[in-house]
Amino acid sequence: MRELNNHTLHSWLRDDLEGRLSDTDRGLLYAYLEQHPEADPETADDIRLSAPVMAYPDKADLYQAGFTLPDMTEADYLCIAAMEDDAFPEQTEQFEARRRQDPEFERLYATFLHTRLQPDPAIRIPNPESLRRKVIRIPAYVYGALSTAALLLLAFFIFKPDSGTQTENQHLANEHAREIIYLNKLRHPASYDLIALSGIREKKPVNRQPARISDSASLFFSDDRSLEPMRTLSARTSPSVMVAALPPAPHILNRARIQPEPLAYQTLWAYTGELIRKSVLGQDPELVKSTRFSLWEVADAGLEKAADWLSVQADISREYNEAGELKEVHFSSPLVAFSAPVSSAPLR
Amino acid sequence: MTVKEYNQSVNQYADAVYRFILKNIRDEEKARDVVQDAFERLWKNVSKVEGSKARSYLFTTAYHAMIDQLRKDARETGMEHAPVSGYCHTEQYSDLHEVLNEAVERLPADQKSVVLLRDYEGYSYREIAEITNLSEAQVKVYIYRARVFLKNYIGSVERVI
Repeated sequence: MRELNNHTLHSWLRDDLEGRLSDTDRGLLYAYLEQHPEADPETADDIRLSAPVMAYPDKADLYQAGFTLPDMTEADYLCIAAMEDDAFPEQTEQFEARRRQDPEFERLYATFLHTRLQPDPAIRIPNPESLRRKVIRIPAYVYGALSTAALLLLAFFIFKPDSGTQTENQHLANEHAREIIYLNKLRHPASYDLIALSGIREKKPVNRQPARISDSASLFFSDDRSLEPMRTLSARTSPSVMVAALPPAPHILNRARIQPEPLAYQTLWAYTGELIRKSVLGQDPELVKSTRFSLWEVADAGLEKAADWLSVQADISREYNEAGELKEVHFSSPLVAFSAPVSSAPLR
Repeated sequence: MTVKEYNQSVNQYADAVYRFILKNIRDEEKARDVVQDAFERLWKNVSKVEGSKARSYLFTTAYHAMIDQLRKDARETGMEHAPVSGYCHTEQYSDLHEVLNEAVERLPADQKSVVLLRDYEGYSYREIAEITNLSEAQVKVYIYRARVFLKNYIGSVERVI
């Protein structure tokens, strides 16, 4: 037998409606509903409390007549409310009535109307053009060029050019000093390159005149720059000459087409260096025997490839002082050109 | 908001914002800086601000920058707001506009701002409340008090020669 309680009551009621209850069960259900009238859906509404219908007698007192300020007269308030279009209907009626009846009130309202401020159109912001904005879409190749330049500069300032090649270059230059002097005596074009490229400007020599070997056996440039003597040689054509120290530039010898002696053997390091020089830097490894790379060599090669790829002319040139230290870097391209002085202070 | 809408808002609102700020802080250089700052912020948020909200955004930004500026100036000079009561233009005058400008200069900063927004720009109480971060009731009180002060300052219109 099913249990009949408050939880199962709805099930019992449904069964009763659908005629599934036996007489006994129906008797039980009705008896239960008589004992628990609050559970019967039909009688529940009757036993709930309902709010009595009552009305507050002084409701009118509770309405807000409007906004008031303690230190403001009613006349002022009415005038401002009318002026600001802020009055309640009752206030508007009161305002209109007072205007009609009281000339003083009318004058007060007229005074209030004069307090409305008018903007001065003569006041204008100077140079409004500076506030305007324009979106410029930079083509991809410009991004490429700028990025390349930025990377090169960044790389330069992070990794100072390796001065380790200087000794090697000096050594090579000294080794071929006799040939330089000989070529110079003959006014051979190769000596033009050698001398000019060993001067202040590496890629863009100002003066491409050949060096002159004087009777006093000292080597001078034609622009009378003083040269730091390095060592004394005994040349066939000159009893004793002073030879200038060439600044670090591995490709000087390359350009002069001076063939150094081939190496007898190659380490893995040297082979890799040659490979990179040949395939990446586009240099002839037979002419440049250094296994160390200057950052400038990489930068030159990178810029050259980028310029070829973009079909633009771009160039980086360096300016050295007389001591062979890098003084200034120049970058030029159709889009951007700049010169950056190089500090000799060590990077931190 | 598109770039075009931004530039249109420069055409439409730059002068108005500048006038509003200049009237409040009375320093052309600072007013220009405040306006430029407001437009700079609008430009930074150009993708977030709807074109229809640009004017409100500009006034809100400029107003708060101006309040910061006024507070900074007050700290530096140690000056407080002038009291509202006690000023009255007693002599006759020929230019009501000029006298009214004098009166506006003497208003407390809060009252001046809301009454300028109300009269210059025609903003509702609710819009002014949004710009100034005040409640609508406060805005209304400020406007009512400012009107009474201005009325008392200019006196009777019969004084105009």
